[in-house]
Amino acid sequence: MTQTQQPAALPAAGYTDFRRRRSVGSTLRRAGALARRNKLGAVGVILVLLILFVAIFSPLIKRYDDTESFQTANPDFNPTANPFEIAANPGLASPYILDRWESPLGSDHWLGTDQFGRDIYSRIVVGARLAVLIGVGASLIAVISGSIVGLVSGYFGGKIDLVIQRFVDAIQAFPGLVLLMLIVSIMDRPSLTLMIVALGFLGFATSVRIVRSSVLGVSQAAFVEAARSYGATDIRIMLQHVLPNILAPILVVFSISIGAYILAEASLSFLGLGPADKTTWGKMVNAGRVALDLHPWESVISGAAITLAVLGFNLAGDAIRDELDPRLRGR
Amino acid sequence: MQRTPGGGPRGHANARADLLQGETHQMGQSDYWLRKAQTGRVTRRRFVGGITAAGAGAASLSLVGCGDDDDDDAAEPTSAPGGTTTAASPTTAPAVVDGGVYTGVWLGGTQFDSVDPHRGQRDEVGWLSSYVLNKIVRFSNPDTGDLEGDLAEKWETADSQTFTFAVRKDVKWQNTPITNGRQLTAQDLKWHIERQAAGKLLDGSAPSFRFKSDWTGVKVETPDDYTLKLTLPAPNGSFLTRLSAFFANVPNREATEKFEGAHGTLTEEAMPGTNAFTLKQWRTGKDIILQKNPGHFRKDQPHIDGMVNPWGLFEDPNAYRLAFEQKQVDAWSSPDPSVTKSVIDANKDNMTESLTGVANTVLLHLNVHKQFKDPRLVKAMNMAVDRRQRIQAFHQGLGQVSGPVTWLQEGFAVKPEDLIKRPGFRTDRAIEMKEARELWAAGGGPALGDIDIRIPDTWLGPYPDTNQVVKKMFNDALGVSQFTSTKCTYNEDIIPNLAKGEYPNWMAWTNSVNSPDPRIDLYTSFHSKGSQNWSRVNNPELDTLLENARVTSDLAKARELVLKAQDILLENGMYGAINLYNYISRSAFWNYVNANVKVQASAGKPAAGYNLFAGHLAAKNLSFNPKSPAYTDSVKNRKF
Repeated sequence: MTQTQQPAALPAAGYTDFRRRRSVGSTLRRAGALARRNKLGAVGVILVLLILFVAIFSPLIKRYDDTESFQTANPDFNPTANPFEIAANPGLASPYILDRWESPLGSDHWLGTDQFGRDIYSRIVVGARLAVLIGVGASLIAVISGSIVGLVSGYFGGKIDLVIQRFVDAIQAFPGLVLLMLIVSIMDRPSLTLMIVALGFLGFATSVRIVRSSVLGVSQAAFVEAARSYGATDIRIMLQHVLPNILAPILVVFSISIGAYILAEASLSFLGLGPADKTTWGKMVNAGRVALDLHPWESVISGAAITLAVLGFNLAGDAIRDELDPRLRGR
Repeated sequence: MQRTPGGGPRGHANARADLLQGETHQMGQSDYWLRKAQTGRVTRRRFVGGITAAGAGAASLSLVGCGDDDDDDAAEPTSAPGGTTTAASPTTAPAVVDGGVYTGVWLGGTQFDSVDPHRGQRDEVGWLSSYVLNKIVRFSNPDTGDLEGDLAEKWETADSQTFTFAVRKDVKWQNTPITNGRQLTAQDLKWHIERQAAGKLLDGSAPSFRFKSDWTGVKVETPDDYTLKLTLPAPNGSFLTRLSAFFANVPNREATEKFEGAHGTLTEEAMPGTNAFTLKQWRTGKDIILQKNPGHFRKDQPHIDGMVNPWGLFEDPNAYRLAFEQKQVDAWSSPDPSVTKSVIDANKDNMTESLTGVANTVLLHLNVHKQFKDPRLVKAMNMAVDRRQRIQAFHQGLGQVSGPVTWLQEGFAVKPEDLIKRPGFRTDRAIEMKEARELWAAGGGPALGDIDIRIPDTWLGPYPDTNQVVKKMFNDALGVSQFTSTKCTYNEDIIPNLAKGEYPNWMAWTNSVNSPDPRIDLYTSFHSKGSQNWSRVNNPELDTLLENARVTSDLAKARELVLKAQDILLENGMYGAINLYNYISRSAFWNYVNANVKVQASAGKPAAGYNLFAGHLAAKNLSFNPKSPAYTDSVKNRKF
């Protein structure tokens, strides 16, 4: 049997054919229609686009180095002041004074400065890149690995399915954040890569479950039977017939998970388990807590950034799900 | 100042017992020791419980037991009818009520590495045991070095080499199944010394005994049960101050030996006491609870019924603050001094401010056995670190740079006007960075690859973004991008690897300064035979200076020798154990507490306490003030 003799993958009823091509104008019109139909989804997409823009162009739009401490020369500096004099007047101790805890809306620092005199706006911008990197990276790991394993598990069934599902059960038996803290804390030096992998591992189980259940449905479809009857190999059937027809749930899992991973990373960073020498939103929330009542801006702004990012990805994910699932479309 | 990590500082923002332990800085009368050291003259005033010897011994005695008349100790409270006492001092005169439970963070991060005071490398076991155990002699004022008797009611020495102590006859061990409440005798002190000198456990193994080098070669005799005679291998002008250090507590032999095999597991049974408090609870993950020892030989102490150190508050500044505002703890300090100040200002009628020099020097410790083998790299790092910016960033300017001898030990420290001329301490950062970069390049620094400056987790609790700040500081100063910074722990990453020479490069608090006289600590840390010479410094010239400084009883000469030793240390970037600074902690406390400080707060002036550890004085000084409007039922009725 040659390639040309293979039957084209037949779209099953109710599944989206991703191979259809549309013109730009048509796509825009459709997007407009979608936005009118699903206003929350539109808000989510706008937020996501905004965050992606900030993340991608952060080196261009940040105003300063996110780690730069701003300081002002101190004319009162007295290098031989004794500690007793310094206790009465801390301004004697250093040739410069850090511009710390400046309020937002200043011309030099739009969102103010933190306790080390660093520009909060620049840190938010740099933190956005990291948040997106972690969210998308972890989600990709989870979805790709989960899709492969879920595909195999659902397609072959039997003992392979049994073993994989019990393994997934074991992972899911642990509370997510606790498992994540365990993974990160046992590592001597939790790095950014480690955090992405750990988050991806945590999401792997969920992806396996969802993909497997989708595969179970698709693999019984007539077009799969037809492919089998033509003698197609298992790999070919999985890749050419099953996978294209379960892309919708995979895409939904991918988009919705990003927000969850951003939140999980923020939680870890807040707890001091994040990448130690990187600027993260979670770490900013934690750092600002020290002086929350006097200088709330660092915590409030970084907290708002986390909220908007998670909200955006969740709303966008919901919209994608609604759009791809015909049963939900139009509700 | 020993170069062993000390965990959380006793004196950091934690008001811990800034109040209780006396970390508040004594503003304005600190030059006592300086004058003594600079002149070599000491006026004999009173010698608490001591028998002075004539002749050659007088000078050494004057070092340890005397003080000028202008630095009288705070008056001891005297008993008054009705279960209350009143302080005699006309300046402080706080109202005092006996009883009550003090709650505060007075033990830093409470990460103990041992229940055995002889073997613990961290300060915490020394701090805690100071409330429970006694020393042979103790500081009546740790900042000035004045001494008084503790287990020994009097002592004499003729030559700073032979010391005879008269041991108190009224000291009994806390009555537990292990001790049966037996009498303490000179035999206990003999065992205490000989065990450390031998550095061996009952099973013959020889783990690291932190103070072994203090006792090596010391001959111990006990002519009778209440006389202890020590003969040192050579005269030692600062020997008695070493006996008084916060870690020099005498543990119970039976209990210590029983728990030798499990010395890393916390249990109150491992430390039956003789002091004013006994351990009611000492378990990992739980509050540490001390209770009044009814059998304590100082019958009028303590005033309070007990003390609680809540678990985990040190690492969580916000929970700590909340607990303070709700009077669940009696003292508090934010890592950000401006926050503490704002809280005090908002509660002026009920709270008091305290300023405290923190004895846990902030240290940069480089591993000279691995990446920093080349001395030029160490010197470069000593210049790359921006001490004053660290003080600004972390402590908002409340602090001062420290050389090899800290400013807390000003009698022996390099004067600030001299220190600012030394590499690493100069005010012109451009020069520092230029020379640092040259040395870094010459020493092959760029070829080292990634360099991780690790930060212990206890530091990251109050100062969470230190990694990023430290990474940037070194990369910027040296014009490279090879520095990174990650988290570590004292107990797992640093302490177990010090003796092996496999410790990471790290930066945070080191062990606290324990005496105004730095000579023994310098010897321990930098002499080729020092038991904490982790950098394995072997400089014959330095050895000679430290040996001579240690034996002399002439303070002026000792100071001169210590200054020369510091020249060598500064020249060599302190051999990788780089002192950075000591900061000043601003604390708030409810004014129903009569804190364990040198001078209580008054008339808008902050309290002034002891810079060095003074927990052993808590039994005498710490009490509650019933006249404070903040002294509410919730405080009065507080139970364990």
